[in-house]
Amino acid sequence: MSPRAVRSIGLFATALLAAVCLRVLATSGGLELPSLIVLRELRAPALVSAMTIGAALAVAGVLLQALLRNPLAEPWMLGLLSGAGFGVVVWTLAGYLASGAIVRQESPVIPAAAGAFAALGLVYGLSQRRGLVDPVSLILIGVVISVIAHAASQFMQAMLPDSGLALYRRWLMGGISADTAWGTIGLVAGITFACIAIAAWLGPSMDAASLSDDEARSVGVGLARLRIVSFALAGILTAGTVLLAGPIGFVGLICPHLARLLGGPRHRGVVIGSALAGAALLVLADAAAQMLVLRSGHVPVGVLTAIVGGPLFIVLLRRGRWLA
Amino acid sequence: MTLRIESLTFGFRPGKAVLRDVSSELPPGVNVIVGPNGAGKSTLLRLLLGALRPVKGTIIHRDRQVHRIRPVERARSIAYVSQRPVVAAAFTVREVVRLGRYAAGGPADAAATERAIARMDLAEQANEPYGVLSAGQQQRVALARAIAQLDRTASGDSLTDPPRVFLLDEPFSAMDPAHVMHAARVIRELAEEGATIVMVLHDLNLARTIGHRALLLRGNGTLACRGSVEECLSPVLLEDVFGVRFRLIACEDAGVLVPSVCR
Repeated sequence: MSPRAVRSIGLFATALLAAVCLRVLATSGGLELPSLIVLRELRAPALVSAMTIGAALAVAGVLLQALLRNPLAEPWMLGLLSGAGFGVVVWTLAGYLASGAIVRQESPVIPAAAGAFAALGLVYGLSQRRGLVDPVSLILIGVVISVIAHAASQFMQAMLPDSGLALYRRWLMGGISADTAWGTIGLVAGITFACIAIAAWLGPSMDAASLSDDEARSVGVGLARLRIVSFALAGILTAGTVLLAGPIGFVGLICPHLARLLGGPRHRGVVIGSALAGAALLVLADAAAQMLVLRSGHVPVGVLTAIVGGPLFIVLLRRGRWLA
Repeated sequence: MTLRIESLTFGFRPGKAVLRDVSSELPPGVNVIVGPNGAGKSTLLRLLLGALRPVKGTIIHRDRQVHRIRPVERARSIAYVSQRPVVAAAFTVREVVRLGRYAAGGPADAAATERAIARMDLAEQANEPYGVLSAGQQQRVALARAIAQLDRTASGDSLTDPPRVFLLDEPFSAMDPAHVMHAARVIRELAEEGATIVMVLHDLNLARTIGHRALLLRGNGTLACRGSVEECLSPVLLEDVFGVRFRLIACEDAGVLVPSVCR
């Protein structure tokens, strides 16, 4: 890795440490040293969740951007998050129709991942014309698929009794809750860490895949396999975040761009830098959400990331030659 | 034989053949592919790369069908430069050239990269972002990447075993005349080192100057001629293939082909 990439990774790690300290101290409307019980029962699960979600979304963004050669690609914009939420709702509704009761399953990883894969496959398939993918129409199709999946989820929720509605609302809102079971957090964190390690290992292949398809093959990249693996990793990472927090937008857009800006374009550095930046960003956003108390309570983290990330997306879109 | 095409037929859709029953050996030296737009020249290069699979017939590289060779292994003997090189990341020129070393991946990479940069006369631009270069400069970077890919000096390997094949699709189309001559000289040197060059060219005079052998394709994807450049790029055959009259004008010890606008 280049010295520049190493420096940027050091910087992101420091930022993560600072964000963690802030989040430990953050309470409604201010900072305060927490008691041991609060730390263990409330802060720790929220911290691990936030770090996992941020890192997973950021690395999913890196993978999607490399996979689609599209710097605007991001899990939320491509419909992966809504797709994963839809998968969970379908799973719950099917269970309800089969047994007549809401079966609470702690971590429905498979339905969430299936929904994310379905959305990504649909968006990728629909945006291809004669084998070419137009970057902007890809995003447009992604947003539309996202809206459809979201609407379909709400429709199906209306078919569930009230208890089901309450149960699955958080998967449509996008906030980090402290009452997620440690089992779920641990499972998702473990899977996320493994996926990020594989993504970092794939760095040089993603570098070479930035050439045209034929040129990438000619220098030795097994392009079909690389795409399937990237696709799978992005889907799994995204599904995990939906299980922990619901859809959170733009982290997958902001962090890879930040990591490239500070650490250069080589993907191994971008993956590691983005993971740390994503973890730091989400912990920071969660701390801000904790401290910011409005009239009707806390603001979900997803709202804050969208407020920061949305304008950035427009800047990138207008800059045109995004990566050059 | 490094590379051999046997009764190759290929089409992207059933019933619409782009290339029909093409056979040829491609020996070491500069092999130019000439023909009208849409005759299947670029498709033939992609088939030689193994990126496409023949509908009928085969392409044999070192006793194996080229599309069956694993990418990492194939990359050690076949390099490819596309008509429009793409780099979808903000790499510097040096980083792009180094992408050629993906399959090699070892301590020799840095030295091979620097040699290729020097050979294509890119030392001054080496630290510049690739994206700001002109199209002609980007073509030189793509050639440097291919040269770095098949660099054998650092590892002390033979230049001819495994044989080196360069598949070049219009590698000079955006270059100025001075850089065309420089790049053409480098390609001739590679051929003298024993490499097999297969190059699509539209400039008939350039093809006659730097080519040893030619494949002349007709618009319907059949082979009109395979042989020496003098033989295949003759006014009679060219008129048959392009439907335009050509004259061969004497020029020092060679000849210059000009499309005739006279009736």
